[in-house]
Amino acid sequence: MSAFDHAAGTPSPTVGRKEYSPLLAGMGGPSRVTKVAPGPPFLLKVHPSRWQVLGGRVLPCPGKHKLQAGLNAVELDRHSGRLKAGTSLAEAKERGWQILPHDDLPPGTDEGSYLYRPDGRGDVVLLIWERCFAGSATIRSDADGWVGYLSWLVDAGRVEPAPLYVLEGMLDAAQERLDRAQDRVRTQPSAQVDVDREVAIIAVIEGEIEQRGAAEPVRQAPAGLDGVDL
Amino acid sequence: MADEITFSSIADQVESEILSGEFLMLQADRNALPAHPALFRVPGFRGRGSTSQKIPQIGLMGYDLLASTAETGTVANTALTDASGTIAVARYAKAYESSDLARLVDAYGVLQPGVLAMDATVSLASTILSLHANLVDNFATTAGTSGVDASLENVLDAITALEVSKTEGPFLGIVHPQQWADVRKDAALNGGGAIQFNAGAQAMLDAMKGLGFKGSFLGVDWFTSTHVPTANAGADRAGGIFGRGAIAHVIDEVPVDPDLPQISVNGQLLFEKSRTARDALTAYISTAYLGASEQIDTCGVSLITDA
Repeated sequence: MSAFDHAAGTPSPTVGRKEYSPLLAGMGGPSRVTKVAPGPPFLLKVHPSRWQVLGGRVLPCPGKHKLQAGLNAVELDRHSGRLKAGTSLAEAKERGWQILPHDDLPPGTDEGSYLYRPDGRGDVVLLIWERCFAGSATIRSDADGWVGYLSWLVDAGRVEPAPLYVLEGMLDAAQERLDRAQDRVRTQPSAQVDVDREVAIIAVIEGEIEQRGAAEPVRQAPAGLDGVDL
Repeated sequence: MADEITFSSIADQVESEILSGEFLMLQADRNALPAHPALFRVPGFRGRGSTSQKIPQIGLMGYDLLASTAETGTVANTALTDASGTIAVARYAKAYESSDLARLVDAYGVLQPGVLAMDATVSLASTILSLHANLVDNFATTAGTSGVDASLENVLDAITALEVSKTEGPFLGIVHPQQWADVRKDAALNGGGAIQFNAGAQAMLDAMKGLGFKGSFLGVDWFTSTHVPTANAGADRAGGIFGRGAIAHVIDEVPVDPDLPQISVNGQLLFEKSRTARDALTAYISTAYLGASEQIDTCGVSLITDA
């Protein structure tokens, strides 16, 4: 006699069951696509005047050379339909910019380009050090990776180090900011953060200048003084 | 009791949802740059044989000073300094295509040509703004510190750099709303001295909030836009402040053909209907020919601050 039999001996069969998952109309699950704002493709570029202190070093402050027809003299090639950026890049170089090739990356980098397109977003181009998230417009920066790339550009000789006159200008500006922050901290204790930051920035710039040695500015005898009666 | 009338018992008389009769616009950066002296619009390309224009920059009107010269000496020739920047035009367009049935039941009239023409006008303005916002991050001169909130000090530094480089005012600032918010916060919480009693600072704090034109502050006319790009791998935003000569733009349209269902909107945009009768589809297409490019780099300063 089985355990399911009642005392009266009448069988009481159990009801069959099968796995159930609620399927709700219109509930397709969370989006797998990022909501980051669209933007044109670009190449990174650096300029001898644009430097910054990042990660305890003086590093270039790159710009983005946008590659979109109609922007900065970029055109569409009338035959291939591809972007034609020769004039645009030449003008950027005339203004002192150096274009950074997208596939020139530090050894050991897994990616073949510093640019990528998130899945499902043909209208978004990001740097490999910019992380985006499904269903969100947020961009998070991989600061260490970015500093590593910029450091490699200088260390590997891809980009000339900051000119001494630029460093001295940065030092003057940082010193001014420090002076003002020190004034502020007397009435606003929270401004101590600014003081500490500027002190650190100054130390980095001074270290860079010291490392470079006191390069003499270019000098030449002033022209046109032959007729001066001294 | 029985036969109470409940919501579920009158299923043949109700709908699961009805349209509200009102609708909301989705959030967007739908703003137009003001007619500002810092904006430099060049003539169109119509009938000029090229899609690319060279804009000369000429060193006259006080560029070279008179040289002190001997009473009877021969004055040397002065070299005329010049340079140029290029601007190219490209097609910018969009199309909305709807079926006859969709237009038939369209409850809000959003598929009607008048509404789509208005949309095209606003979209054109936003596109021109986007082109400018994508150029202000690339001036060789910068103000601000990566990872640090924008401040009044950064704005004053940028203005100083423009004045030192002999840029003529008035200046226009195009910055990300986060940058503007940081400057506003600095004015509210840390502004002292002259700023504290500056009417512009008061107006800045009390101004109606939202994107677009924010008014004048510290002698700069301010505009915020979410099109302002990121910098430093997303850690920062890179807006900019500039005067006349920094950026040139062009807006052009192809001439309207009177035989076709098309109109010109403000002489800047071609708006036309395209009917595919076999498929019962009607499209409304907006086309403008636009270009924007940097000209004199030192007429602008990029403001690179925490995102």
